[in-house]
Amino acid sequence: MSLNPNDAIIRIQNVTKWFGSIKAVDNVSLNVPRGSFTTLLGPSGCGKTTLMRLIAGFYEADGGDIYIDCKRVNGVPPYKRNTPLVFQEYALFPHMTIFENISYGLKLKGLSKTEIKEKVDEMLQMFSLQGMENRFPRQLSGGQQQRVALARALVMGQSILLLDEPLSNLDAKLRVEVRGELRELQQRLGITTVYVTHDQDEALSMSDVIAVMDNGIIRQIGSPWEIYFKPRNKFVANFVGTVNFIQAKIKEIAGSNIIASYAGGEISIRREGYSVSPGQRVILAVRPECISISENNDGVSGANQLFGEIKKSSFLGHMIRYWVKCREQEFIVDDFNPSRHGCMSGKVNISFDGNKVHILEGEG
Amino acid sequence: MLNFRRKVLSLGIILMLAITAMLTGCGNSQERSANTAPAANQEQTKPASKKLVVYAALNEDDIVQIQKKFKEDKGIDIEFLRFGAGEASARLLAEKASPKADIFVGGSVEFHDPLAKEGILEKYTSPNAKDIDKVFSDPNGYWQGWYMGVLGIVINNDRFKKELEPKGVSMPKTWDDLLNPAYKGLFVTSNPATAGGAYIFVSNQLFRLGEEKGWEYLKKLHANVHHYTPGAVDPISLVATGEFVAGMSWAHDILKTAKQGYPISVIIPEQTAFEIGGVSIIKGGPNTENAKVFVDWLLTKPVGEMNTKLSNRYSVRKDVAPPEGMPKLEELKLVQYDREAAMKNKAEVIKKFSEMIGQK
Amino acid sequence: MLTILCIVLATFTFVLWPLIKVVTFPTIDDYMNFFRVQRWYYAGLHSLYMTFISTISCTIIAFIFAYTIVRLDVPFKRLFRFITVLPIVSPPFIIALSYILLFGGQGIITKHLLNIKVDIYGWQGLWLVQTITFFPYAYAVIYGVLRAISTNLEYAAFNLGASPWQVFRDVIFPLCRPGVAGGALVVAINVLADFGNPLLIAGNFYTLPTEAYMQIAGWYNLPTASVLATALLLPAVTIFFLQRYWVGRRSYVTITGKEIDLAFSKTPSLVKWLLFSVCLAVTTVVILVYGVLVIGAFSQAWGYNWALTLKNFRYMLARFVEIYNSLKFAFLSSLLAASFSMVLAYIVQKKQIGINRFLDFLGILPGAIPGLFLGIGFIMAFNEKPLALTGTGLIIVLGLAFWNIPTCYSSSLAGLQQIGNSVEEAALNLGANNFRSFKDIILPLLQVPFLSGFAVSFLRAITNLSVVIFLVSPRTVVGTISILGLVQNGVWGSAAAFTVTLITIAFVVLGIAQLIMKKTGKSLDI
Repeated sequence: MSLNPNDAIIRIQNVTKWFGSIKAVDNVSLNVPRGSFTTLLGPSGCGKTTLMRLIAGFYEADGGDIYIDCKRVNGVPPYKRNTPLVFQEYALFPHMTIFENISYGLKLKGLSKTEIKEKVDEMLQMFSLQGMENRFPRQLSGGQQQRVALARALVMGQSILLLDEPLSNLDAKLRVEVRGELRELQQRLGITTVYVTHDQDEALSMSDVIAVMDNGIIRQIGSPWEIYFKPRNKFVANFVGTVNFIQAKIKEIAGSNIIASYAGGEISIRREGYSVSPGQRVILAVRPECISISENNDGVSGANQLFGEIKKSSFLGHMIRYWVKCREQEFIVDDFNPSRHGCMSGKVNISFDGNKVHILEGEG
Repeated sequence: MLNFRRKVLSLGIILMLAITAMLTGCGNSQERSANTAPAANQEQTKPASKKLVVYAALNEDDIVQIQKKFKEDKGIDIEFLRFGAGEASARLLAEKASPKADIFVGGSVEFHDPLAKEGILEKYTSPNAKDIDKVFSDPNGYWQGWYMGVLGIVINNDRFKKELEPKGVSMPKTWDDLLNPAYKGLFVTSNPATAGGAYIFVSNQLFRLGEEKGWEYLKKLHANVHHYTPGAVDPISLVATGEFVAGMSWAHDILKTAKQGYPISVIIPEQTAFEIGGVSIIKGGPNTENAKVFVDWLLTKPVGEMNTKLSNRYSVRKDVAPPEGMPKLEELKLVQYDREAAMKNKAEVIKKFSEMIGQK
Repeated sequence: MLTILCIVLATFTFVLWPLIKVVTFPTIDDYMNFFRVQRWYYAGLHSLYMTFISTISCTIIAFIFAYTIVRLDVPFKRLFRFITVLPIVSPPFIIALSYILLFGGQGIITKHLLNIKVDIYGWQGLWLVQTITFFPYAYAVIYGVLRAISTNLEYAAFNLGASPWQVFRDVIFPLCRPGVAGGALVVAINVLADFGNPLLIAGNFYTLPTEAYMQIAGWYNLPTASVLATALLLPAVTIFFLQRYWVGRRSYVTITGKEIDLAFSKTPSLVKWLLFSVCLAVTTVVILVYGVLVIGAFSQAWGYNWALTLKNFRYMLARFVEIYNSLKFAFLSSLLAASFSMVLAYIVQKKQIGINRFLDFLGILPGAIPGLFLGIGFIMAFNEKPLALTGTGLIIVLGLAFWNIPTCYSSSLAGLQQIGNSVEEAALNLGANNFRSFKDIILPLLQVPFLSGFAVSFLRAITNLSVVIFLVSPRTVVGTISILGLVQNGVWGSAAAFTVTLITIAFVVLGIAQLIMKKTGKSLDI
């Protein structure tokens, strides 16, 4: 999804933020397209929450500019930014009822009582919170509190919604459920959403755009598919999903294939999109599910094929994960059709699909 | 950022202002009285104010009684603060620049005299002073004696009968009787470093026996003393509640406690020392005219009788009967007490005394 | 900015300025006298010695109380808690009279019950009195820490094979060591500055605060009083800094907000009942001491004739104004202290303005200044223009307020720390400016710390003598001053009656505060 920068509702240009001597956000640029669900993904401490707080105005950038709706907002206090945020720990006002919590922002805007009532009721209904308006936050379950926090942000009727790990305090099952509801809601309302998470599943399943962050910088921006299958560097490949890395050297470019040699032999990869030259050292990334495994017949490894021995396996119901040792390297291989031949052991052959091996350029 | 921080903090200011407003409410009433006072002073001709501010080194109930009676007789309201004579002096010194009080009443004249030298007192000789012995008036005219107190011995009768009589000890009559080893650990007195009365007691012995023998006496007595209390009156209650058998303090205060029903008796030994209770007018006080009215009033016979009755102190007026339970003034054999010398030697004597008693 | 300026200016004017005045008042020669005059030198040693031994005994008893109340399943726990509040709200020095009556040479307990001969007038007697008077201060701190230790940790230790004693030695005690040290230092500062108890009970064991007081009361010697007060300030400030920068930063307790439903592990029976009997013994003494005071208030002659009478209360009627003054000044000063502290704590905790550490320091500094010192400083600093305040009610209110600010400040700060940053950010995010978020979010949430700070300040102010003793004027006399006068004049019955009245008022106020808290569904911890 590449866009004209002017279509971006939030435009971040070369923003830097220091905390003491630590660079929390390092010269970051990001465009958040109108109506998109954009996720900031990264391990804790990578700067993703800081970046979101810079958008909301809780912090001021030490360098660079932030534009919201084409207006530069540097120096604009948080209460004038119109960027409703749902906090990780919800931050509901403990001394206010649910109704008062949701209506607080509207009250500040000076809306009339009837207007407020109307809008809050709408929210209560949308989030199935009817009948709870006079309760206090501590009387609600975690899931209900989360919905109140969402309602409090959405009731403002802004075109932007910021979500700071809103699902992290829910239990695993509820988290998956809410994930879907949230995405559906976002698409229905067409609201531009910036979402912070460290959970790759959340990021992959909900987002239009993912920005993977590490150490204050954005390592890659792209669609979930790009991030997963075409990671630009080792960090992204490793952070999102499980991956096998293979040290290799480009041997030759033969027509539509690139031939790379590695410790286990040679591998033929489809050429499209890569600009490599013979002799270059590269790293190959292969997802476990992109390797097929079969019982060893002859003990000889052919093209794109390796001979090895299963060291360990783990049965997960819908698949079996194997740790296969081939000479010096161990590969993780996922077999998604375990019923075919049951749980294997001992000597096996594994083979790579040339279309599913990804070359990480410049990481040799 | 700056802009909205300023707003937040403005709330703080509002809070503070609200409190300041409340405070000035209570502060102002004070100011007002302070402001009206000099105005009244300037008029001079007629005491416009109906107020008198008194620093009293008297017992609480004594000054309350004076307050009540003065209002009845003269229609003037007394506002008083009661504290020790030393503290009152400290206060008067501190307030020299803008005096808040009109009268300093009570406390021995040893405390009034230095104040006169500091220029804090107003010179005034009451017409009523003509009825009073010259000893009780300041030759320079700054203070006026109006009562007299003598030092005495307090004895707990119950414990004395039970513990000392069997040993053949009879009630003490003289200061020297207190040297009897039977009193060891059973006698309390106060410390001259902290209590004015105790200093008079020490000087009393030095005047009575002479320098050398006086110190010898104090040293011997020290062997019997259980401990030295910080205040002159403290020993009385300790003896009254039976904690100790004997003590030294002001006779009138002993008598007062005895009248509460405690089993104690007061003994006024021969050659005892006395204090002159003073009254003086503060220079530049807010109600100086009323202060003069007060001094004149204080020296009258009815007031002398009233004060004698409640406080058990001798009036300086010859025509006032001695306190109930006390011998007549003429019957007392008082020591030759040189007030001037006593005041001059104070620092030295206290230093010597402190060294003598060491850590005790 | 203006508020910060106001706060800094106010603290400078009402804390640092009086301090400087006192320290610079005496000449060098006056200072040298401290070492020349044996008595004062010894007073200094006595003060340090008494502070040292009382701190140890207070801390031990406080720990036993805290441990018993938090962890043991024994009867009378409510009574024990009540006992820990009593000594805090009682006016000083009058209690010493009860001790004399109970433990003196003719004491009800010592002579008539146990028939032993002890001498209460001296360091041993003072030690007993100081221990019982000041252990509640350490208790409050240790209690808080002990309660916050997660039970998971002790079960983890049991799980690894530790015996109950090993669990205590290796887990529980180390975890509350910061609390124990903190409590000990609070006690140390209070014992060091106390002058009411030594005045009546110490016998020849004179201490610095009593000497400083007597220098003014007995001889109106301001330079010497200043020297002694300064000598007192030095160890106080030392202890204070120890507490702040050595203990204050070492808390292992983390509040996760997770509810733990594991009960405390059982303490061995023998130990349990041993601790219980210590608490019971201390409780008995405290009850006796206050019981004697109450009975004394209603009897003919204190310590001699116990026939019931109301005559001691007659005096109270004449001095109604003083009780009114006590209430008025305590109320205004507590309000000022609580509000000032709340704004200060808010700025320190929530606003990064660069001088946070300094403001924090100013907020707690008055805690290091003995009340007597503050009082002397106030008369010296505010006797002349531009701030001629002596004689006014304002000076008393200000003196008490600044004396109480550390108390309120700590409770506001603790309250603020419990409010997550995000709650306030949420308000900003929804369009509330800083003023609105302070008013709508912070103020309502700080209600409890505000009220508890206010209540404690009020109790402290109404029973205070050390600060006000040099600040009162004929129109602004307060109750404690009268009590001191009555004690000094030997009218102990009336003094007891006055004290009982003041304590009653204090408890009524405490009760009302608790009632208000209950209405809002919270409890007030003092």
